[in-house]
Amino acid sequence: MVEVAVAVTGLRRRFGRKEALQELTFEIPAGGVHALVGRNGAGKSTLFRILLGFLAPSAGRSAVLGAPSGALPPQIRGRIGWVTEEHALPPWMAVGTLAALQRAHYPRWREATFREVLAPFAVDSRQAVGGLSRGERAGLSLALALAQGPELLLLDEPTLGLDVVAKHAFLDALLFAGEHQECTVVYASHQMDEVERLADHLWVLKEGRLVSASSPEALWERIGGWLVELPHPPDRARIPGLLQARALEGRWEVIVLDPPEAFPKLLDEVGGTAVEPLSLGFDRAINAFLSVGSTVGGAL
Amino acid sequence: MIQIATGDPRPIFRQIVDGVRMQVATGELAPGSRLPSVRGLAMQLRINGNTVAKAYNELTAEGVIESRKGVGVFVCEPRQRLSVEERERRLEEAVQHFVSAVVALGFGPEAILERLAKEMEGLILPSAKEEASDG
Amino acid sequence: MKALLLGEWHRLGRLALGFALLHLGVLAGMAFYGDLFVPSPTKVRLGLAAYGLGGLLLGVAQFAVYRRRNLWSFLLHRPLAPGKIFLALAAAGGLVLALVIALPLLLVTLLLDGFSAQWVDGRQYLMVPFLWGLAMAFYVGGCYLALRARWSAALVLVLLLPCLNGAVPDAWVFVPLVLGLVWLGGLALTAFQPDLSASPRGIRATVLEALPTQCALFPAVAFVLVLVYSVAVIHWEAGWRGFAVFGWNDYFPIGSYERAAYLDHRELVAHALRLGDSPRGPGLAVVVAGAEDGVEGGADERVALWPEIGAAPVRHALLFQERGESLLGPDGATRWVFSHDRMQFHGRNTRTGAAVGWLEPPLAEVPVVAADGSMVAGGALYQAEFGAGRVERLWQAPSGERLMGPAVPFDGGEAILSDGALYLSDDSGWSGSPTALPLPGAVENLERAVVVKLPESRLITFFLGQLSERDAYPARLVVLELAETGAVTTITDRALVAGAPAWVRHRGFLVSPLLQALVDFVWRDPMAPRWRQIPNGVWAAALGLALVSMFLTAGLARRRGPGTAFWLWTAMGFFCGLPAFVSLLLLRPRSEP
Repeated sequence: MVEVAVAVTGLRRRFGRKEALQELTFEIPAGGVHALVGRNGAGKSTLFRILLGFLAPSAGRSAVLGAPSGALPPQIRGRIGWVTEEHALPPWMAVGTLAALQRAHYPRWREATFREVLAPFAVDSRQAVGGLSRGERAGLSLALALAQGPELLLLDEPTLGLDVVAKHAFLDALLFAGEHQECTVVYASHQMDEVERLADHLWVLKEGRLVSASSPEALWERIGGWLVELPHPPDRARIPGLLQARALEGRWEVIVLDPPEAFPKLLDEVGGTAVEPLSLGFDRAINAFLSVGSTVGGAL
Repeated sequence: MIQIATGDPRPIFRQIVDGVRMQVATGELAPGSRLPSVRGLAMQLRINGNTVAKAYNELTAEGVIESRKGVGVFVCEPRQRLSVEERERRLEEAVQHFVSAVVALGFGPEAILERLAKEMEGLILPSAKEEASDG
Repeated sequence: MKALLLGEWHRLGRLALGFALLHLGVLAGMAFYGDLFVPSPTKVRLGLAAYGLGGLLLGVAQFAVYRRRNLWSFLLHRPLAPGKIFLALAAAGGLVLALVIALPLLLVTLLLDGFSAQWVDGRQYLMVPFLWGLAMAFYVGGCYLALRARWSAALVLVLLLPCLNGAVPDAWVFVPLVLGLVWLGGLALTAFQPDLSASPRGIRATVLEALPTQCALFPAVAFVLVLVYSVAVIHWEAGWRGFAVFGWNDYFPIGSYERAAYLDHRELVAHALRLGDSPRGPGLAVVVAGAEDGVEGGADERVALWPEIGAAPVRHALLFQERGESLLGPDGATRWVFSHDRMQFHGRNTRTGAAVGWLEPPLAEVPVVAADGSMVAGGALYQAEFGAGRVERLWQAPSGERLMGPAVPFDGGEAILSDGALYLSDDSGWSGSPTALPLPGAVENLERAVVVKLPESRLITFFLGQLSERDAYPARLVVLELAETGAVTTITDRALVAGAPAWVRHRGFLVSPLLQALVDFVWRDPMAPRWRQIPNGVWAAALGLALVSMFLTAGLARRRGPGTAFWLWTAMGFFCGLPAFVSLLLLRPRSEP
């Protein structure tokens, strides 16, 4: 059992002019559910592909379960489960054949887990994978990954495009499949309601950089919201740490990172009034954190 | 039934804590009744088990529930654990919070008190007389 | 691994069965309506192309699916080394090809051998694994193509060209096939990695990929040089003449090889006569040049012979020879096919297909046949007597000489070429002693020999220079006059100079001495000169060009950062010349890492 599930040092990846990952350095310890959060294009998929050796970094190194990504030995690969967004599986294969193929390759295969995870998706083993709906494929993909008995499970936006029922089934399976396995889960998503339910740790990627690594509550507590009245549109010069501002009937809803204790006093000094504090849900707070620089209804 | 909602301004574990406290106070959860296990509640609510564990830990520290090894998690007899000073401080804090929230609404003091009395009516409050031995 | 193989087999199985039945149908049709084992050279080429293309398409289709549908992660992210995954998939492909190609062929061959009157040589059975191996080699090439996903990757298929050489006996034909298959397999293995966009790393992988690409580009670069010469030099000096290169012989001076090379037979003889020292030459030239066939006083018979080098049949060779090996009996009633196992002709009735018998006795070598039943084998001339069921020997060349082509009718008798002399028989046939005219040079250097009948004598013109382009052999024009008495007079004996400059004639060497030597070795080219025959100027130019391409290649390779690859490419830029530079352009990764 390794102590560090994922280790990344100085990782960069450039596509033409675009820097998908910039100087990433962090370590994900073994155990628990780690949410990797960021908007589309923040670099989450790129990071996964680099971690598993399917893409070479422009600079830096990475390692999973102690093995370097560029040269992952087959035994280590056998201990990592990977569920991608598209859930790409050979469309010509029957579900039963696919399961048999995977069973033959993974020594720690658990048939009971496979059936248990797949059960709510009502998939017949003679159906061809190509004929499954997206939700069914997602369930199948997760069932295959979980039945392997992985030590590290990487999930890349797995519930994207799934309806509510499929989403619930997926999350149930993810949280409670089989007996408790010693598994580190890295869950990349920008669906904050799922992150709120699942995550023990929160890793935030923004434009290819790691901008926060903490428990979800720790980051959440740093973000405060206020309904204010201001003579001019809010900007970062006057309100330091401003994340997001939204115009609302002549007033402004501002969301601020690390607001000082005496925030109303600060507002006074720039000619504004704090009307009342906003109570921010997790998704609103974290999305505001992710979207620094955006504003609705006014300039920033 | 304990319920949680994502998007709520309170963290999920806090919602559980508040929810259990409320159910105990309204009598829905009688003392000695059994709570779902950590895993069971996590499955029911579709959340990470650690969150439930955190909530249960806080409730246990407050003395609301207790865990009996091998048997389960049960509601405790209502018992006061906090010291007089601590209780006073918390009451003061809650009153201040309440007052600042309703002061601008325009209701008269009688109406407000009446509402408060109505809410408190059905609740079973831990006895103020019994105090924890070590505060 | 077995599970993967079975999975792929299930995927491809149904389609494979369909194609196998189709193939079987085509073969059955060919066997029924014609002679399956004696196809025309066109059919041979079409067949080889079909099998090769089939293998290639299978490889591309099978692996392109895994690339395109983002199934790559599914395929490679498993506890099995990439090499083993590839082997499992390729084994499935091999099984498919065995079902589609080898099985129908084997079936048809067995049925024909066992149930029809047709005689089947051992080498026909050898065709089964050969064709399967050929398709397999192209299949692996297709895998590599699909993995690299760029058009320039197809250049490595040049590795399979040596397989298509017909003149190789028996199992030797498998040597280039296995070498090509192993090389392409190595290439495919290096490309079969999780990170598909990375180019092969390491010395071995780079060389595996770069060398065949450069060999494929080598003739193209050499051709560009010729084009430069043709367009720039010739057209600049002599006006626009289109894109042909050495065809415009009147640009070249009289007395040069190129001036004579593209003349037709009559013009060649006239030209040769004018070049000679003898005073009779010009007069004869007028007669020959002006005469039309059949006019009195003119040349009323004229025939050309050339040595059929490379078209001579090889015993037990798998791929069929240029000339085919079948004779048609009188009235087309019987067809006679030569068997390499028994070295005899086997006849079958063309209508009923029933066996007619064998022609006795067996021959020592595989014959070159002419349509009327005359044939040449080794040093002897034969005539097939279908009625008697025999092959009669008409004439044997003097000791040690080999006959280089069939006998050609001339002036009531026949003319035939051996590797030592030209022989003319009179109207009494070959039983008398034919006139011998010794060749003035090596037979492989002989472009053609032209025999012209004049009213009172015969003119024999020898034009040597087939292998003179790169100075391996000298070019020469010789005209002999054979009087009716049998006296031989030399009218012309003139050495021809090279008309095109040395840098064009040695263009391959100029581009890269190493690649030229490699190509000469693989194709066993008799035109390859000794290196000390190459003029110093060409050596100097080659060195200069090598340095230029080395700097160009180094400059391009530097962009990828220094390391092993950089020095390797710089070395290749020097030793392999401009093809190395072009191959680096084509092979380096599209998006920089």
